[in-house]
Formats: sequence, structure tokens, C-alpha cells
Amino acid sequence: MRLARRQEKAEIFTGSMADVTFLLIIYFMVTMAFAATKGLDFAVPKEDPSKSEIKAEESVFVRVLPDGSFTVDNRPLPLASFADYLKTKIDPGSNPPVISKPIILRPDADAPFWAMMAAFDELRQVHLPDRLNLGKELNIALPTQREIEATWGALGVAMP
Amino acid sequence: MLKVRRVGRQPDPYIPTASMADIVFLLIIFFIVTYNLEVDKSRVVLPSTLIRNEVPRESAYVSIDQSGIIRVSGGKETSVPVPSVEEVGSFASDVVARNPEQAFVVKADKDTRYQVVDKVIDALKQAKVKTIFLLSEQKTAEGGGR
Repeated sequence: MRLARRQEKAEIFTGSMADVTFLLIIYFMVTMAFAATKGLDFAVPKEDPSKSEIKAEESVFVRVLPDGSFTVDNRPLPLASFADYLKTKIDPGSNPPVISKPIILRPDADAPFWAMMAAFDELRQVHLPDRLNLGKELNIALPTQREIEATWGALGVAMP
Repeated sequence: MLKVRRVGRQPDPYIPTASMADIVFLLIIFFIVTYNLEVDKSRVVLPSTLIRNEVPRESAYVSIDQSGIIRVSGGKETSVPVPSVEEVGSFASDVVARNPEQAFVVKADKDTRYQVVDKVIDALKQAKVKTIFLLSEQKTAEGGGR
């Protein structure tokens, strides 16, 4: 007598596939950098050898002091009043209003980095519609100590 | 009244899990595409700003942690400590020589003395770096910058 043998269906077991892929997901989530991918950018001015002449021009001088406070044109000024002060520097008769005077941001050597970033952030927002609504962004310069020594020296001006 | 009893075999309760793998694979693809390898693992407390622009992928990093240790990375490899700020300049020159458009990210602790940051920025400027990012975290309305 022949016994009928029941054929088992061919099957690829995929039950553990989800487990493996979940493990991979957890790996990617854990090793992913979430927050630290944004910041304040500034383009370094291009060097133009044809314009090597240095001339003094009127500017707004923002200093950051070691205690984290600020002076603008040598007068103590809180961060919240920067926009009000800069309003007086708008080019007369300009439409839309613009401030063409360069803003020099000069933190002291002992000033904390956060205070410099707070001032830089504030200056970058002055042109926005909810502040002074200017036609273009401010021209902010962040000269380094070496550049200041070189420029001030070339102009024969005492360093501030 | 006649009671009808169902005699047939009851099907086993079953939750279909075949589509689970598809969903999870989709999630994996999302993570692979948006994955950013953290090249600098130094722990710093970043200053906070309202304006924050996206740093380009594979930017070079210069990090300054709380104890003043400076680390550099070309953007693909893990950052390594350098003995002095002067080394940052020569490192940046090498990177710029390979890719003149390479953006640099300065990741400095919020309480770092500005003098150190100034020297790093100066070194990058001298190496002819075109774009520098100062890494920050999102400032909340009541954060007050600090």
C-alpha cells in the first residue's frame, strides 16, 4: 500500500526580517547628528589686489566687553536698543532705507563667545521687516586682531 | 427552534506581518538619505541665535571645547586634536588646496574666550577659506542669547 505523503509548501521565513531592519533603524537613529548642523554664516570678503588702497570711512563700531555687555560707538547700549540706535544711521533720503556705513563688530579678547554671537545675531536681524525694514542687509565686518593691527597701523590711527 | 452549529475548522487568529518589512525598509531608506555622520564628537554647549542657516554636508570642522582643546576634521574623517591654533592654519590650507569651495564650521563652546575664536577665524581667513559657519543652537524667545 502506498501512503500519500503530504507535500509541505516551500516558504522563505520572513518573520525575523522586521527585527533585523528595526535594529538597523535603531543604529541609524542613535548615530545620527540631530541638532548641530546649523549656524550663523559669514562670507569672507574676497581679496582684490587692485583695491589695496585703504581709506578711512565712517562706520558704526560695536564692541563686546569681557562681562558680556556691549558698547556702540563707545557708548554702552543694551542689545535690545541696537535697532533704535542704528535707525539714526540710515542713509538720508534713501528709499528703501539702507545703512551703507559698515558695522564693525569687535569683541574684546576676553569677551565670551556667546556675547559676540548674540551681537552678531542681532545685527543680522536689523534689516528685517519687524525691525528697521531696510532694503538690504547690514554690511557687517568681523575683523580679526591681526587685520585690525594691520589696517589701523596702515591708517596711522590708534587702536580702539 | 433548530440550532445550527458550525462544525467547520475555525481559522487561526492571524496578524499579517508581511508588510512590516516593507514599512521598516522605507524608514531605513529615509534614515540613510538624511544621515549625517557626526565627524566631531566633542561635547560643547553652543551659543544660541535666532538666525541659523544650514551647514553644507561634509563641511570641515574646527571645534573648541570648554577646556580649550581644538579639534579639526576635513569633513569626512573623525576630528583629531591639534596642539595649537597655528596648526589650524596649515590644516585649513591643505583642505582649501584640495577643494577651494570647502566651507568651514567653527563649533565653539559658548563660554570660550573670544581671543581663541578670533585666532581660529584669522587662521581660516589666511588659508583663503571662503565661507565660515559659527555653529549655534536655536534661541528661544525667552532664551536671552546666553
